[in-house]
Amino acid sequence: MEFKNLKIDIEAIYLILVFGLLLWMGYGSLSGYKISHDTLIGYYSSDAIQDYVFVDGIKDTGNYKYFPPWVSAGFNDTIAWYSPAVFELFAMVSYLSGLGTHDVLLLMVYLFGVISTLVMYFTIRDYNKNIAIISLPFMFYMFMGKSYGAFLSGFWAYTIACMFVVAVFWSMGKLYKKKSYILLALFITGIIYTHISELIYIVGFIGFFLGFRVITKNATKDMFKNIILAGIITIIMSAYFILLFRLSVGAGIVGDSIINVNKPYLGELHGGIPVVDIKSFGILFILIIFGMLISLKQFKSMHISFLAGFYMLFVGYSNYLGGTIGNRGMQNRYFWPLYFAVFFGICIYFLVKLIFKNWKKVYSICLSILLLIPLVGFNYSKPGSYSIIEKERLNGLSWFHSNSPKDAKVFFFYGDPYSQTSILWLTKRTAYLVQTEDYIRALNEKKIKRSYLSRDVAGFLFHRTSFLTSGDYTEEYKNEFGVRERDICNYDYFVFDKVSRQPELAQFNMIMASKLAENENIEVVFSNNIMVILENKKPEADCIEEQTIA
Amino acid sequence: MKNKQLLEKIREEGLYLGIMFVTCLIVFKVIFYREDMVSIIRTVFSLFYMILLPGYFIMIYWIDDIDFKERIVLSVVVGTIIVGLISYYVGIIGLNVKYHVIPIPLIVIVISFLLNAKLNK
Repeated sequence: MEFKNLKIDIEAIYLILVFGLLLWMGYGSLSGYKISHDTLIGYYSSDAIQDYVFVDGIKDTGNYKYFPPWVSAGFNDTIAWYSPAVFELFAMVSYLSGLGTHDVLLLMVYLFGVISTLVMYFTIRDYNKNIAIISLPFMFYMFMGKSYGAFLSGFWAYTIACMFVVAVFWSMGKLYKKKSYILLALFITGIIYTHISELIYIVGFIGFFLGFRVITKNATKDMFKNIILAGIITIIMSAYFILLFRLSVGAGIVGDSIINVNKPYLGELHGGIPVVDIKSFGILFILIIFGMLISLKQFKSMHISFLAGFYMLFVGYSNYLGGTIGNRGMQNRYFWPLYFAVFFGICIYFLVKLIFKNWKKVYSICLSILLLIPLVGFNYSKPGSYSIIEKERLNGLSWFHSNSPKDAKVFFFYGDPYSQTSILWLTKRTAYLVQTEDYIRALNEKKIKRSYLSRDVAGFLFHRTSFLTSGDYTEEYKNEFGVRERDICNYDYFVFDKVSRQPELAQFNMIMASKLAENENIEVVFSNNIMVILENKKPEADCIEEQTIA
Repeated sequence: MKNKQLLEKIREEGLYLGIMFVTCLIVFKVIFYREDMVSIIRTVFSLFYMILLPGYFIMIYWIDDIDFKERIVLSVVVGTIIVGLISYYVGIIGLNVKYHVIPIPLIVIVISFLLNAKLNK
């Protein structure tokens, strides 16, 4: 081993520090400084739990051809179209690492966030190493403030796709390299297989990039050739999945308006979390504006990192266009810390160069650290190591895995967290949920009923009818899906919460449970501090007498 | 560049990869200090074997054009989509995902190496 050839690489050391600090900020404190957990930690939303259910389902079914039956109202041939490649990879990592899928998923999502930062760093470094180093502190905003919300709230397919988006920017800056179209094709394919809605913005960017280079007379024949070749490879690699997408959820999207300027998105929330605005960066947004102005000095030969920054500024504000474009465009603001970092970096670099003519890389690293300390110190707040589902509830829901038939139907009565319906998929059984309004009505009328308004807890139910055609079970079984009156006696299991923020509902649950337990065919099979599960040994037989309670 | 030189360069970078592996172990242990060392080693090894190494061996095509640090970071992105994509389709064909774990990354590594060696002639 030729250790004597090893040189101290100060840039590499700084990047390792950045890597470590970002991972600590993003996931370390959230995870309670542990990789493996015996319960869900950091799952703050239904979306997050949904992703976990999909990844875990791959291990249960052995592949991701179909969604698992428990997310598909019991059907076992519904088209799986959501983030197939990375979810399959996570299942593999789970096997090899020995970690639970819930731990792998979370670790990978945050790790990919960190990798996105480093890819953006190298994209900027292609322009100027000092600016790239000085830009790094701004990228930490990704795990601070509103941007962190995209991670904490479970927009994970989007955040992973952004890693590929940033990689596309990087590869567009390398179009002059031999066979660079292979990398470009791989990254665009990554976007398609992870969160396809980002594709439209990347196609737009490629058009913008080429248009800009043509106008500024910087376009080359190779540039066009590489992009065309990348497009052909991408189409070949993605054709089957695009067909699946088109046959499933894509069929519904076609009906939506792409743009609707009469209905812009102007709310302060997107998907339930605060929207990032340029003012979200506080006083630093002034530096970003200055950085944008400085970058215009080299307008004709503008580097890809600046072009990407300007383009993503436009995409972020496309919420004013309304429609699907506006909705998804606004979501892209969560990654502004990466896209705008170059403006921050060039502004600071421009200022220091006014004073110090002989600037060195090591100064940039020192300055970067100096900027990092107050930026993180003032803006970072540690997220809590908890989840929307507590351990005891998870234990209750997991009870079904090894104690009930796979085709069992489970009826859930009121529970505080069940409005986040993905939670019910944790049973790995077909779940139905009582409509809260109807349940409250019964409570107010002091009535014990046999039928309640309820809903099936199922995702998209598209299935293939031939290679090129598909059907939708929700259309084919119109009378069985959606919110409708359901006879609870037809179900195999009943789940009641013992505790609630609304104690009357918990009390009503317990009355219902005790009335059901009076039936000789029904018995309590699981109970802990927060929930009780009853088994109905004779579904479809009489199980409860309708009555009024005192 | 001839194959001998390519092998020499890969050997040299293999040393860097080894240093990176140990560095990752240290970084992970510092961040996840409440985790036992065996889990840390298994996790870091899994990430290297399933994502980074397949990506690295694909990217040795650009060994002279892109520096090691940059290639390593991009290897993660490349490895993610390549291994994930192959596993997805192999799963659809009918082989259970639990049997993909060892062979798929290994096949990507071997084929990438052989292809790069052939293209390098």
